Amino acid sequence: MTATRPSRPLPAGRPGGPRLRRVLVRVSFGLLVALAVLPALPGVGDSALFTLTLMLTSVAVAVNWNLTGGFTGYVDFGHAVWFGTGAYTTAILMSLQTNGPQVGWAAPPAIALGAVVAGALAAAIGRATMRLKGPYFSIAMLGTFVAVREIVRVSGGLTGGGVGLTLPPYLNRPLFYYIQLALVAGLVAFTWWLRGTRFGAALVAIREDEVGAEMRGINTTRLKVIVFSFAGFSTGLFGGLWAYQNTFVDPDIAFVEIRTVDAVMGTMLGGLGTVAGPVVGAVVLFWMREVLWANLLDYHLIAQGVLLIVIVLFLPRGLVGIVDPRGASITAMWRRWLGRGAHPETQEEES
Amino acid sequence: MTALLDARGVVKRFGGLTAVDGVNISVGAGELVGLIGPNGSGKTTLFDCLSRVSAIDSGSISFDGVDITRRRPHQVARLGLARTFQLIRVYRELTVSENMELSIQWRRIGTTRLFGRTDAATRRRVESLLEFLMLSRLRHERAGALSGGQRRLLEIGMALMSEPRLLLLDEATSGVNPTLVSEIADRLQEVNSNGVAILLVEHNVGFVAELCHRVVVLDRGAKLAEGTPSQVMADPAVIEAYFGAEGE
Amino acid sequence: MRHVAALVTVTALILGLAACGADEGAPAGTDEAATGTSFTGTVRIGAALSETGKFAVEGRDSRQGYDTWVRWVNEVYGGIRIGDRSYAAEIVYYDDESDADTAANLVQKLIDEDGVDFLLGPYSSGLTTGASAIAEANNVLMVEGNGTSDTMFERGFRNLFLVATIASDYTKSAIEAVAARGARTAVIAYEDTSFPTAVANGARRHLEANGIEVLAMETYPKDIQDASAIMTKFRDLAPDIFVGGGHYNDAVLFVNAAKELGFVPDGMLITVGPSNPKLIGELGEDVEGVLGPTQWEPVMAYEGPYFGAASDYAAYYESLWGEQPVYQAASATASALALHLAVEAAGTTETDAVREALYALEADTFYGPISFDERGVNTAKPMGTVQVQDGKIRVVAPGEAAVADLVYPLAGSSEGGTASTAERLAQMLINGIALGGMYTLLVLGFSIIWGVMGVINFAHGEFVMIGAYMAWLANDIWVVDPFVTVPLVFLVMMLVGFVTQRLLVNRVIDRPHLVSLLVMFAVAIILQNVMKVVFSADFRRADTVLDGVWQVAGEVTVPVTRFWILVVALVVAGGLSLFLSRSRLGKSIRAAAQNRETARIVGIDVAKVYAATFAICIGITGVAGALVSPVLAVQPFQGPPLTLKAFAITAMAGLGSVRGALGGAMVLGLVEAGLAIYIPQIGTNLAVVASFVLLVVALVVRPQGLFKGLRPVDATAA
Repeated sequence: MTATRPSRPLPAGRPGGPRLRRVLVRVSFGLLVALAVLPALPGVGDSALFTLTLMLTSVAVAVNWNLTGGFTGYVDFGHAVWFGTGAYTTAILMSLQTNGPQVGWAAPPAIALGAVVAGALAAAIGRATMRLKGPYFSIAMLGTFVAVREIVRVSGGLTGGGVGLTLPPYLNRPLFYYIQLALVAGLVAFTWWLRGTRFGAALVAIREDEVGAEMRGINTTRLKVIVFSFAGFSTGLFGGLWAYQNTFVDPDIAFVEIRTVDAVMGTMLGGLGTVAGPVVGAVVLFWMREVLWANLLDYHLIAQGVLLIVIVLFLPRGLVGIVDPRGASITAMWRRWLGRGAHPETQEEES
Repeated sequence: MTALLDARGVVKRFGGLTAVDGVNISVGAGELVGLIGPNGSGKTTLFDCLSRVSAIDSGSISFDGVDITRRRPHQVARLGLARTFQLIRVYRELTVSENMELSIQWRRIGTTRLFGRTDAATRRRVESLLEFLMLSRLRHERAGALSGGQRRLLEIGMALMSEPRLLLLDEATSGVNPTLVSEIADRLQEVNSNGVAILLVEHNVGFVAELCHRVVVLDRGAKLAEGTPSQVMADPAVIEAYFGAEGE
Repeated sequence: MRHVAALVTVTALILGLAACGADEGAPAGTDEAATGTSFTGTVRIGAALSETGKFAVEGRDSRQGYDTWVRWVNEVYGGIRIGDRSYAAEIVYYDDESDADTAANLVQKLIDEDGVDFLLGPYSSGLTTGASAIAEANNVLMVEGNGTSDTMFERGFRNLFLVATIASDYTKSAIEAVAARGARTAVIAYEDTSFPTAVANGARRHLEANGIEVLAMETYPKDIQDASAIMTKFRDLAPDIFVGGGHYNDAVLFVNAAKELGFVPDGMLITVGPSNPKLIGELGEDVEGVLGPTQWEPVMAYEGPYFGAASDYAAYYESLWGEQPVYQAASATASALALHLAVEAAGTTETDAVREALYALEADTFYGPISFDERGVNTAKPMGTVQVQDGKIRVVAPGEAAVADLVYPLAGSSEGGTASTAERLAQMLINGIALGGMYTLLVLGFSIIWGVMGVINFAHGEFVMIGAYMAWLANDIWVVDPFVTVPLVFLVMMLVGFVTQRLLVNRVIDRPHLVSLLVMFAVAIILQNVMKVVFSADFRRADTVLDGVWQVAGEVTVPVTRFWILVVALVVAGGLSLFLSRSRLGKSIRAAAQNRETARIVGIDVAKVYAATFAICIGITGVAGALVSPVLAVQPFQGPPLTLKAFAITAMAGLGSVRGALGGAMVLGLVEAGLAIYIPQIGTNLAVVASFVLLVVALVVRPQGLFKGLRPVDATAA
């Protein structure tokens, strides 16, 4: 068994608590405003906005992954499958054609339905795979990811097979940027709120000790599947948006392993099981990759591998954990996690 | 006294090994019953069966007249059966208060109030229980930082949070320093006198003798003896089971 | 307050990075006009090309092609003449990293920020699709020669022009040539992505138009490692012609599989590969007689007033870059040239006028004739066909460009008939068992490590890969047979295992599964990319004397190499089983697997046991890699599918159980062989999924594993 870490309790009345939370809310708000006015700055053109939109997508996927992986403790290695499902559903609906005029759906309902389909699929699959624990669950989800990709590939009639589907093009980078910004902000705010509810607390209990939680009256199966379905739904939503902006999907760009890897690494880098963790981590990882790619060419993946080892061995609580000692620790995965606890009024606040 | 918990003919097998072999056990409302037996006699496995953490291969279990043989653990918990574990299960990264708050009676919440926050009534109950268990000053400590004995008390407190009618305690004194053991005994007495039935698994035979109205002895998965503590301690079969090897 | 300061710093950092990110890194380089001549101005052209990523090689060739034109226009031709003035040519490049999103984004940047007048295309249909959409939306002309999928030209775009032959016509001249020599039946295999699908569909059309019956048309997944299942199916149909399409690496797989199975049709036409001398280097005489399309060869008989004949162009190219041009470079130069001529004909850089000029263009060039139809496709230029003859690449079709005669049918082509149902079944069983033997050897090491040490070695496939590369190197440099390298590989890999265990695995043994999984995963990524940097991503293959097939009964054959692999696998499995049950070290290993603490108490040096276990297992894994080097593609990324298969088999069949590994491997092998052979069209795709579906089903149905291993699997226990 791993040794117990020394506790750093925050005694009642310590200023770091609620004040920290107020500061954080202000900083986040400021950040949001900054991001909102960014497009108006000179020199920020369409391609810069596109890059930022991709960054926001990464953040969204990481935040969603964190719901299942960080809060609930079910490390999903196939998370990108929901992204692809949403993307493909949207693409299929928008590129529908009969022999006559185009009957393709408009974007908003297509994307919405993409999210719904992804969520429904997650509900069905979660019910089966969440019976498994630890690495078995992780690998079963990876298997699901591979299987769905191949099924999409061979269902040429519906999905266009390996050749893919083209969506009606609509290039308005600023619009997509704002939509994505609003959705991501909403998602993060939702996660923040969720963690303070009993539901959020129950998720943490499931992560900390599922058997104990079950024994204390928490219907673990139902809660797990609910959060898994939501994560699937939400990820599918961003998948649909991405498909529309990309104007093209094929099995190998809609279902990419690296999207899951980025979500996992970003969340771990930022701090598993925290609210800010996946946001911070995904952003840092995104920019690191841009920089690494530009300068290190062939070596950037090697660097990422090294980074992963460093994170896992030396930075188990993530970046947020440097600032806040009560972040979740990767190394104590099954026992020593931190969500934010049952109610927000306690003194010990973390970011 | 009507039986609150009534288990009949419980059988549990693991591969080729029969861990629990046709055991009948019952606990009446308000009773304090001890379950003892040498290592490997199947006590914890029986607990797992009773609390529905494990499925049984045959037999039946009923709680307060409801057949719970196929129910899931959380359903059984909501009916009023609480349990602690041999290897203490608390939420180590959370604080003591948070642990307690998470152990409310979830049946009262239902799905709609799941998205609310902890209310004042719950917080009051947490405070009073923590005081009862003398853990109040530790309320903001990480549960993982507590000593073994303190964690045991916390776990008992978490079990009590849900206002159970029957408490299954697995090795409540193991790993606890002796001074704390009598504290625990006192607390359990008090809980029991408030109407909570208790079934406890114990190695510490003295603890059992002092506390329990009735004792059940298991050996190799089967019930060996049952009766008052003094009856059971004097039973030659029991003595043999415990000290058999040394009795040459 | 310390917290606040840190957070503010982080916020500032993020905003700062965001602002920096708006300027997407330095351009990859611009070419400036030579200062010799005086130009009135510059015509700026933009190009996103792959300098890094999977198309890096072709991207470099394309860039050299574009630069050839720039140098020629500015230094030889005297600049682009618009009216009576001369303008220098300048191309602004960015690296699209072989990524479609990046290419599209860079094109946007070239238009918005660099203000280019025109665009030249990236490499590959995938990237060109998105990039051209941006060009179309912004009404900027793009001329290209390296993205040939038909789908791109069915969108009704007005700003995209292709100088090369379109994908669906890739096989036309070859098919016409073999039809003229009496071919009557054919089979087609293609990768289920945009470009190969276009080629395959076109091939089908041309085959049928020439009276050749298509007996089967099968797809295969993108990351296929082994084409033998498809080839077995085809061999049993006994066609005259085999048409296979994908990318360079698939050529290696097809030729290899055909040889392994004794499948020698009268003609073998492979879409990408035969025109590349590298293939001959890799496969030697096995590729003799294979046909392939080529957009252009230096020996073709085309010529024009700009660069002269094809050979003149090649000489000029060589003087600039020190190597002969491949067709990707020639296509690039031709695209730039077409644009150039159109600008001169229009007398302006104004988009609409140049577009009209492009539609009206009719030119003869070193590359062939150029004339665009209403889709923007150059329909005047036919696709060439080459054949490997005596180790050289010779143009054999169409007539006007040919320099040699087509050899048809191929020497040694089999006379076999089609297989009966019983024979198919027998073949499937043999293939399945052979596959099972291979998997057994590949899984053993992984299973034992997990069972004994509780470590899930996610870099397992990479150790296989290293063993494979070792055998390939020995084969390539010293002509040593892979089977002979086994003892050496075993020893070296044992050492590698020992070192890895000491350095890394020891640190993570006590931690939960996730940690060891992630660390090994990181190690895998590192190893893959190091090997890629050293050896490139090209598929390799080792040669063994134990190759070919044994004709068993009628159409049923036993692949020799795999048979011997099976033998080795059984020997190793048996030996390992005996070792674990009888020897002292073996018993210590089993004890340590059951319960570490108890083993320690009994006096077993658990650390030593772990080291020994890991070393032995990596040794076995390396040997497995060496032995499959003649059978599976040796390439830096061959690892992950194998690791995942190992996981699936082990989790299903029991941790550390030798019998389980054998049984599970056999089950998987038979399922994969069955799917590939019996399911038409998509069988191979499904086989890829098989291991996962089996795993998920097995875990959900029986979480404790199918066999009893050294350590219990309980997938539902926390």
